[in-house]
Amino acid sequence: MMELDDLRRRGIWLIMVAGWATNVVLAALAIGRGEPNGVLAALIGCLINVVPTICAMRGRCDAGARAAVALMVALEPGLLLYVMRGAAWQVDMHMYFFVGLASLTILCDWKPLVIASVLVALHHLLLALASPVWVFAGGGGLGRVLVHALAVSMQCSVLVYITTRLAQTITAQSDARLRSDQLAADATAAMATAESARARAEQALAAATAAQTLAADERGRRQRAEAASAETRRSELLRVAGDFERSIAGVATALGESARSLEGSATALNVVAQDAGQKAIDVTAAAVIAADAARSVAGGVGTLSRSISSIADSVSQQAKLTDHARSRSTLGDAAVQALASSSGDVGGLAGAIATIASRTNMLALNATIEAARAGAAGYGFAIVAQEVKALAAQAGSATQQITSLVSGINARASDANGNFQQVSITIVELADAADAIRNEIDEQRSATRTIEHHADSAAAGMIEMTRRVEGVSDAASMAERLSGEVRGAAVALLDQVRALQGATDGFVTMLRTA
Amino acid sequence: MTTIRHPNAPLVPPAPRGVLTVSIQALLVFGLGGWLLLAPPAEGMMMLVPLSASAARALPALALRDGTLLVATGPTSGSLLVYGHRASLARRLLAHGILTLASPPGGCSAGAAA
Repeated sequence: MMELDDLRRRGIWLIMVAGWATNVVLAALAIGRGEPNGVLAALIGCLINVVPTICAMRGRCDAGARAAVALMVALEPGLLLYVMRGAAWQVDMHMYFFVGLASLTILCDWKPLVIASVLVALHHLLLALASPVWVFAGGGGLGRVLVHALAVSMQCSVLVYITTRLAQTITAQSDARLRSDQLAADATAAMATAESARARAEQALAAATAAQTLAADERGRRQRAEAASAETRRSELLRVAGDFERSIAGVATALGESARSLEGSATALNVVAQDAGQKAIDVTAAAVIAADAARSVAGGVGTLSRSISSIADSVSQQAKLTDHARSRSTLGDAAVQALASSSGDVGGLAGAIATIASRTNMLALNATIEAARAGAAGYGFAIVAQEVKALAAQAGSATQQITSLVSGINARASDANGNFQQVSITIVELADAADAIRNEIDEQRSATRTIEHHADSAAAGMIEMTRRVEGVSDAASMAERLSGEVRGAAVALLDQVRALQGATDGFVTMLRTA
Repeated sequence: MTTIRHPNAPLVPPAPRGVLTVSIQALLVFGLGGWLLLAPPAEGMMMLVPLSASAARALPALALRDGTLLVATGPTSGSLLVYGHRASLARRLLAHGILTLASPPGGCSAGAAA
């Protein structure tokens, strides 16, 4: 787009300069022809060229600037026509409309062309419609105006096609130039890279040549040094052979003795390991038996614990029965005391009955006396009195028997009361003894639990000891196997020592003969 | 065809400045051009154009005074072509709705075909 804009700026400049030149011509024609308004027309030409001049001075080429130039170009030929009024050449000034339109081609834009063409064509057309006399003196008809408008439009079409293609071509050329610049920049960068690579390659080649020279010098120096050191190495070899023989021989002898000692130690270790393994097996068997015994003890203690628990339950039942007997004994004692009291009451009643019997006997005696006084008349009465006396005697006898029975009952109630007291004392002692037994049983239960726990721990310990003794047995087996391997290694080492001695002899011989 | 925008090309064209530019230029071209075409001379042929029917009726009486001579009828209805002085005609007739313009200039030819 830069090229297109540059072309448009130059075009605006050229058209602006041409406009000013036209104005000069206008002024000259006006002065020369003595046209009254000729100078005014030239002044108007200058005024309509001010905006394009400002645009050109500021380097503008935008659409507004191009349209302003188009307006100026459309009016400038009209001013020529005005100044040439009445002259025979006035009609020839119309050609400058086409010159002006052609000059707008340089702006590479179809819009200024259309603006100028429309302005040129339309002012004739409008004036022809409004006042044909204004267009052509005496009137020329609409046909002439249309012919002129057709010519203007045809030229406009051709110029629009040309400017459009020109703008496209310039745009494409600008794009191509940008691409070309980019490619040129890329090529320049690639060339710089290649130059840098070539310089590095030359430096590397020079370095390689110098390295080759240095290597040749170093090779010669090394060959001389090798020749000089060969003799020194031989004498040194002889000395080293002597030292080597002495040192290696001493080492081999010491090594042989150590290997033999190691073989003996391995054999002894093997015997010890076998004995340890056998003992471990015996300990394992004993530990198994002890674990079984501990488990049997734990089982017996468990049975004993359960038996003690049963006894404790029986003792607790006995304590309950003792309490029950104590309460029953207390009730019996109270019943016996109530019986004694009741028998006392019966004794009192028996005394009352005896008194009644005595008084009845006294009355029967008095009746007998009175019956005797009455004679025969009282005979029957005497019999009744005797019978009453006999009943009184029987009542007295019965009373004595009752008294005797009551005494016996009291005596037995007293005995029963004493026995009940003894029973109560015995029951209390029995309850105390049951409590003591229960306490003892609790202690025994705790003791059996402790024994059972220890028996279980002893059984678990025996099992752990059995497992560990099995580990000891495995270790003993491993030690036995390793001692065998050590013995084999000692034998192999002995063989190697012998081979070393032989190799040392050969090596020393070779050194001395080298 | 792919268009590559130049790095220095403006992102947005200066549309407001362009509109102002073309407006000023259009005002100058149409104003000054119209004025040059239609402005009456100080003395000479002029065209009197009435703007209303009453003005058309009053035009002959108003125009033909102070030595103004009637030349012909004008190209539009009611208009007259006269010869006179602009100073005495223009102000007096404008008050009655009558325009004083330059006479038809013969436009693009002075009797010859374009």
